[in-house]
Amino acid sequence: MSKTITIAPVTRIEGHAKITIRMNDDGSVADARFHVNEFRGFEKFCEGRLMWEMGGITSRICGICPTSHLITSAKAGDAILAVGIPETAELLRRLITLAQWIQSHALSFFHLSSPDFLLGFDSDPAARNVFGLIGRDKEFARRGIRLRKFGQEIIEVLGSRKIHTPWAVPGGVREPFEEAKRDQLLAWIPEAKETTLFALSKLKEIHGAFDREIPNFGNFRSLFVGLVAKDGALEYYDGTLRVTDSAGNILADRIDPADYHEHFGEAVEPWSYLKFPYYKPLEYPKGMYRVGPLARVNICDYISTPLAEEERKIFKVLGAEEGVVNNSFYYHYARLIELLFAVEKLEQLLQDPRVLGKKVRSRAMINREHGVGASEAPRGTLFHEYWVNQDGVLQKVDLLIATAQNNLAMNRTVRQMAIQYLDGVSITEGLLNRIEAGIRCYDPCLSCSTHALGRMPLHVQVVDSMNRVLNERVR
Amino acid sequence: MIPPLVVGYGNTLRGDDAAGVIAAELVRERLPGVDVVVVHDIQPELAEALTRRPLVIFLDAAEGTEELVCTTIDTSAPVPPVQSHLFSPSQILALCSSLYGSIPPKVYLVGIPARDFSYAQEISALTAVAIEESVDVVGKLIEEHNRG
Repeated sequence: MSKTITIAPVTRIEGHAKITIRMNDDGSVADARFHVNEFRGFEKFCEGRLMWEMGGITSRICGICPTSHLITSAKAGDAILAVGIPETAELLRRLITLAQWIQSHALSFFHLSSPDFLLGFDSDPAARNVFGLIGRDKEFARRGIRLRKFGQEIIEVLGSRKIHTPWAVPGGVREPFEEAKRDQLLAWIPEAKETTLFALSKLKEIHGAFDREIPNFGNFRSLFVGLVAKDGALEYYDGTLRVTDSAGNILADRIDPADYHEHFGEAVEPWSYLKFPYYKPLEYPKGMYRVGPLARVNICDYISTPLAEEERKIFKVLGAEEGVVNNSFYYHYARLIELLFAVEKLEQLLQDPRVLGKKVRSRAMINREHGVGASEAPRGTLFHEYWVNQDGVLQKVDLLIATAQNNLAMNRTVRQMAIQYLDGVSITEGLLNRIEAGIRCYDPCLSCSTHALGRMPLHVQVVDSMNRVLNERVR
Repeated sequence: MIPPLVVGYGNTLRGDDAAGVIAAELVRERLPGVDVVVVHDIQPELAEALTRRPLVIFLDAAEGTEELVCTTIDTSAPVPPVQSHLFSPSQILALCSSLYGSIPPKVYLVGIPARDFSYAQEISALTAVAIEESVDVVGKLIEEHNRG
């Protein structure tokens, strides 16, 4: 008799989702799906608003990466105004984008994923949190909290608020940077660097402890997509799109982000509110691709800061046989490499006297009726596309979010984890947590494309083909 | 001497849920010698700011009451497990204790009556009145603390 196992919600991710695993009569896994059961509809209700408001509106999409939406929205606005922004404004936008990476990557690694690593997948779920971490390694927990605080402080210092700052605008940013604030942030750099290196050394210990689990943690071939700089370096604010295959061969390069629709399509499935983007030349679903830290570190030719570049070379060894690192477990490693890059790059930018320039905004009227902005949010490439009338009133909005672009890969990961760890009989806590941990590799932010309608407890049901509940568990 | 800390939190886009934020901003304007932190929600990074404070007052919207509710937080009571990066006042105090080995000797939670949490930047008349009362209560708590 076939069975379905449901995990809802998936815990320690941003937003609400559930996982279902349908079993064959012989107890093997027939299929596994990652469902996003929230609906938001930001694209629709932005219609009729003024283009100038979009930074404030879209930054409300998310409490974790509002700055990424703000910056990307401002870039779409730049395109509509048809202006080049002042050099200082670009440097300041780059600063705040790096701050977003720091606070989000620190949250993902230290707060959300480390409890699994330091306490174990089979540990008591009530203790698998920051308090459990403190019990195991107080210094690790303290450093993680401080590092995230650093990222938030940069955002607060630049934008006057930790979240939902209205600081970046079409044409630049609202205010120049002050020297005293610059010095305040520079004082954090040694500690931030030390903490990131500390986290990297911890993660390498973790790799050793999980060497039996890692080979089945979202390990499959896919395309990788992200922005790279003109010279092929790791990029976070600007650049052009690069697509590589699962062996690292470049399939497409120097794609103008404004043309993303020509290269990427979005499929829809009836069982999820999250769309399924794919690379058009390979069609759906073969055009599955991954974005975010693993993709960015895989596809770039090099990283422009010394410590992160040194670490990237070590990372590359993991994918030496296949050409790239195809295992999603190493999202965590790539995330920490990016964290190190962000701290190093931040130091370089803060030491650049041009960040203290006073001209930070170009002003113009509506000069184009269409504009696309793109940047690398912590979880991957983010696109905002706006169509406006001559008064700047939005006629249509399209947002392509990083988490959606990883949707096919997340589903593939869930299926792989289920096949590996589910025996069709016992639903153990460790089993459920491993499946969830497969999703957490991607650090999905479902809030970015959905609207929470309520929080459910974790509820697992085994049902037969007649939907009769055979077994269930609630936590 | 480390000043008392007032923490106001809530969502300013969800009607009366903004009560704690608005009240904290008024405290900042009206009561000198007090540190004020305004946040959307309580996250682990707040723990460090609580250390060594002689007095901490949380301001939050409270559903299901018509009256302002001022309670002391029992820091010895067990706290529910944390499942994300969002914390309640008792959880953040527990974190403060675990990480830094101390908690403020006096901690109050001032609950401001709130009834409408729909998408809005306006607050109800009930909450508006209660916000003013809450600022007075904070002033009295600080005065009481200063008298020893």
